[in-house]
Amino acid sequence: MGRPSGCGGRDSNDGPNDDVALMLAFSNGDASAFEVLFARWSGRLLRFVQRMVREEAVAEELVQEVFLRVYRARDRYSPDAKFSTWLYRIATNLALNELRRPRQRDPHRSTDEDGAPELTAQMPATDDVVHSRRVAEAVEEQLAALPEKQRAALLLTAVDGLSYAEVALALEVTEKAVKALVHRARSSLAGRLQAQRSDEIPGGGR
Amino acid sequence: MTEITPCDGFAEDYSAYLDGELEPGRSDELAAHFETCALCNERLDALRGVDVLLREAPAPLPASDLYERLQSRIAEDEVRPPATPLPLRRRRRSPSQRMGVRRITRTGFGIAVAAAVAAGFALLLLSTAGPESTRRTTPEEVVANTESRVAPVPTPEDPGEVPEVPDRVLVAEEKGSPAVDPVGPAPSGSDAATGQLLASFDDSSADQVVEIALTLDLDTIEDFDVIANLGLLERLVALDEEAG
Repeated sequence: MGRPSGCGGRDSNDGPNDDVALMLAFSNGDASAFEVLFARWSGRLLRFVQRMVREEAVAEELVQEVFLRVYRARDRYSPDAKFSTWLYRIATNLALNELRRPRQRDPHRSTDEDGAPELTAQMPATDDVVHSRRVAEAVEEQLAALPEKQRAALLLTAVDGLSYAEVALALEVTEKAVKALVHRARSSLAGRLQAQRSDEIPGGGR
Repeated sequence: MTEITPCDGFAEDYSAYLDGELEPGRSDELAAHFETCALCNERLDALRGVDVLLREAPAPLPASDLYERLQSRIAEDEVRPPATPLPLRRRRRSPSQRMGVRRITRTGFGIAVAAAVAAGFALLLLSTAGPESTRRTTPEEVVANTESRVAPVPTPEDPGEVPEVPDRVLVAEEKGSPAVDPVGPAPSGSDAATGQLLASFDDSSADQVVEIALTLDLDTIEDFDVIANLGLLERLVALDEEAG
């Protein structure tokens, strides 16, 4: 089946009603509908959760947990809200809970330690590719340094396309708070990336 | 790091503008400003650039067996017995909780009475032990002995879980309801004898106090009339003053 190009929010064209119809079908015993929902949403949830918890294995566990909860809730599902909002709310709660758990390891590990292949001389790559990878790593690194709620608000808004109202539901805060969280996160990230560019390229900063 | 100093009154709305979350009037106002302000335009581009970079990162591909693993978890989940309203984790209760103090809080000042009674027992035990006694009974031991009529007490060697005994107090707490027993006190064979003992308390001997302490049980404390408790409290305080 085709994957929606957007996500849960305003830039979505996946037809949220379709998700609701699938969930209702699942509630009525159609197990294949659950599989379709998983195929539709697991990738995007994994991207979000992985950027939150910064650990691939943990992120996969949490995505499974999200769908386990959907499965458990099948009999009492009521399409009061968008399916995606519900899904992201579960995922956000799980991710934030995970981040608040006492950890053995430093939660602010660098991207390299999380399994992203390092740029090495052995890897054939053009200058452009190297540059792109460095930029991508810098983005992830600086993203990880944001406070968790700012990070979640920015990712849900800018990447997953949720509206402020939907993010407010997911984070259990007011829309006004979401507006502030998103703005702080975006401004902070823009500033950090700009500073990093300036450091890497002497004289390259504005 | 370059400090961006946007025009006053606009900066806070940049992100909401990008996200299409502003009221139409405010959005038009900002759009007009961006047409004339190079600095704000630059800032807006920087913020927009963040979104581009965030979206550029490829989404990780879920492991090919992720759905299968999910199915396994679901299968395990379905095999498990349904969740019960009983708490899965039993807390180790404090001596005051084991004495049933929480249950008599519904009487308002019952908690104070119960605490004072317990303290009175402890003080009396300490103050009335004779010089021939080589080892004084501690308040903890009194409490432990008292509970021994109700449930086994965890030992220092076995500080783990409290043994599973019916405990309607904890159930009520876990359900978020007031610590009120909806089904009434549990049957207790010693209720009548203990109640009689408490009601007939008119002797200042330490032996009787110890006997009462050893005979008390949770339900009797809960059911015992508050006035009677107060009377007992007064006597204990008087005894304490005499002893001390």
